[in-house]
Amino acid sequence: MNILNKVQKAARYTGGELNSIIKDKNTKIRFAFCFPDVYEVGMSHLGMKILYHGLNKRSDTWVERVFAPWVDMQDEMKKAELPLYGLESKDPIKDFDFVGFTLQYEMSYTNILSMLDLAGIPLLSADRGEEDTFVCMGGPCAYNPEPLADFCDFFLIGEGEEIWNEVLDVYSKWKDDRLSRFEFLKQISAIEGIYVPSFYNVSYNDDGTIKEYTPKYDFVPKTVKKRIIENMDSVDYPEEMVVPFTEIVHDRIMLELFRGCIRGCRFCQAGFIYRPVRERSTDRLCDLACKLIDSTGYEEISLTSLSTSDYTDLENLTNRLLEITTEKKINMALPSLRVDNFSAGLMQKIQSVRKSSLTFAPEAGSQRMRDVINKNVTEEDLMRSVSIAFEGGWTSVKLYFMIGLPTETIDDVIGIAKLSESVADKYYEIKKGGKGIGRGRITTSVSSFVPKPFTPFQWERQNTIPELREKQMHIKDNIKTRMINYNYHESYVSVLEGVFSRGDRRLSQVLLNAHKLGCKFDGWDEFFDYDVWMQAFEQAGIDSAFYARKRDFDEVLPWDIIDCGVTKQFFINECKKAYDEKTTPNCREKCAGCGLMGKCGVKQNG
Amino acid sequence: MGKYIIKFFKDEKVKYVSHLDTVRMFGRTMRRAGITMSMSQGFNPHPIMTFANPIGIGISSSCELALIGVDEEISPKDLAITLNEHLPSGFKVLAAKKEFAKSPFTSLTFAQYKITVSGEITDPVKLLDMPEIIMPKKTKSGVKDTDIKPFIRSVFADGQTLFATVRCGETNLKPELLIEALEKYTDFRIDEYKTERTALLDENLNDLIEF
Repeated sequence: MNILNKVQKAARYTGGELNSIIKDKNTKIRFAFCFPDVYEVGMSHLGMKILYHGLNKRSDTWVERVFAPWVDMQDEMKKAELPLYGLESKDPIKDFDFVGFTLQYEMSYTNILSMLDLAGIPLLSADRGEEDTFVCMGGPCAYNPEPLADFCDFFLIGEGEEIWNEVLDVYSKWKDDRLSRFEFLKQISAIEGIYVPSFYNVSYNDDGTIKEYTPKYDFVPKTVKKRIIENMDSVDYPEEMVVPFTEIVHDRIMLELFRGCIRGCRFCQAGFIYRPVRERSTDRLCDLACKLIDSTGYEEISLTSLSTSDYTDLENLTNRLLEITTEKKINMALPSLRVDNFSAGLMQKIQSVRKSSLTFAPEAGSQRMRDVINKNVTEEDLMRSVSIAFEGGWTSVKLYFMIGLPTETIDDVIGIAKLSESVADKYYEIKKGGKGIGRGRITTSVSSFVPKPFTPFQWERQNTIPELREKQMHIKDNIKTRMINYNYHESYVSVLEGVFSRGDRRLSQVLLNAHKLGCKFDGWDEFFDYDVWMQAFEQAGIDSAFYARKRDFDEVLPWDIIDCGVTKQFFINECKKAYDEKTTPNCREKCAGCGLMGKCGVKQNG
Repeated sequence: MGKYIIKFFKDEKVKYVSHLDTVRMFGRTMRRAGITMSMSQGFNPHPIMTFANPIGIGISSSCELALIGVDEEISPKDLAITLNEHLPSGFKVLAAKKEFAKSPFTSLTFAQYKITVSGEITDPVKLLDMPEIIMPKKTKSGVKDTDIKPFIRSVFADGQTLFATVRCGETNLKPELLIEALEKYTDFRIDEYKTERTALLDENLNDLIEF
């Protein structure tokens, strides 16, 4: 493989990292776990680590990793006629039993097509024959699987640990029996969480909205229920993780404290699709931490979850972990802190040698707007948190906000600038006369809101590019202090992200067109080309604005085929409460009745 | 306690692992092995580790040298054995010894490379008959046409394998540039080649570090 001499960062393509798993090439089931972005991004993904180590425990299965080759490597592979291969065996993945993609981000969809193309696998599910591999997809974006319906043989909805074992058991027997492709899909469609898009017809109304989904066969479920793991302590968690040679985005041990989130922020898809909240015990976490530290040699451990500081036993957990990490000279990182329960004690624990930047996410600039989105933090919370940080020696704070939220007014938008200014004032108040006061830096990052399926805002209209641009400029004009570093992005990507996040299966044609027009790595600024995308829509005769419009509560949504556990009525109620600027307490304060009662691990206070 | 020099190899499988990645990999290997490394003082402490000469990406080696600070009592032999139990496949410690000199690598002057070539080759010694060998060489101030003849100590062929001794250290010649020079100045027509570094030498062509 001397083409590796011609490409950048060739260590991405060689495999052989510590803790990677090599098995016999004659293993019965060969499985390519594909991440449709580069190695550095894909290797940072926790879900891949969990499934890679978990499924490789099966003696009949060998899971290998595959990432999107960077563009230079794609060119060289095409020139050398080298098909896309698994990193462990270097065998072409088109000969594998399964080629599975994880869907983390809508803008990586074209990379799926590039990868199938490089692998020599027919892009369209309908074009695959009896000898071809099964292409399947899962992950958060699979909750609206429809834009990828034409390319995917089956989707896995929800958490993968158990469902994959069931699919592999069926497959193993099916392979022995030498039955047809159709028969395999039929058999797994009976497994809860499996969605076979080709088993459904979709009809449309005259206005282009969906009329209904009709199962083609009587054995197909009317809706597909997501899978969840009920006991987080008994489910597999890797005790080893592959340690890359080359530096990756999250180059540290990831310890998953819990799944789900008690908060219910109305814009946040993760906050609903990962419900209910289920925690790992402190004992189990400490045990895993020790084993992972020993098996990887990593110098940092990160406590990951949607909102880490909401872990019930956080005080005890961090104390016990600190004993371990201090002895072994390891950093502990706590991402996703909230401003309403950030404390001096917690800050001291994460006070590693380096005082790196702290990030807070007020999300919106005014209290009214924060009530609409149910963020449930106040300006006082933020001021208290940044004061603790500045007094504790931090000089750099990042603030995350969104624009384009439902009911947003210009005052809400200007509030972002005002709140950032208040944080700057607080900094000067605390650091006044102190040494190095000039080092202070406040980064205000503003992204554009994208309405997502399975949120109370799933029916909302998405702002247009000119609207978003105007709001971005208003913020810019209202920031006066030089210590504030204001970041925002052109909103073209957000608008497309919105189209695919709420799109239907007619968009498969647009994706195919975009792929043929050369779109790839659309999440990367240097490759994203909005005009080419518009051409892809035009060729398909589809108006992208159709997908950004406001929808009625009674419209059939493309993702109605999926049941995420939270009821539609709950989302409707939450949406109406948003319009009334009314908040909903977090799950620990009061059960909001989302539909997952009984499976939920949250205990209400008092 | 103190400093150790280790000699290790880096085989074909891991030849694309960069110098910096190799440094980080050793740090993690020491952690897994439970050997406490001496840390640098300062704002952002890092393990004390110095390499004789960073090797280029894509070149394997049987002679890499590194100086490591260790904060505990361990015999060189045990250090080598323990590291080998924990190194990722592709790396292996060949020898280790205690080191008392502050900068043991300063007398590095030459490196030997073994270059296996596919394609047409002629006698490479002809290259050294040229009065000068002008090649575009990367310097601190950009790419400059440079006479690289003084940087080549010797080069000869045995079948399809070249053995070259070139300057290494402060003045350095990358083996790629030697190959390009052979193509430019002689009748070499190379399709593919792979390079292995086989020795790091002092000015008298003795091993830089004796074990």
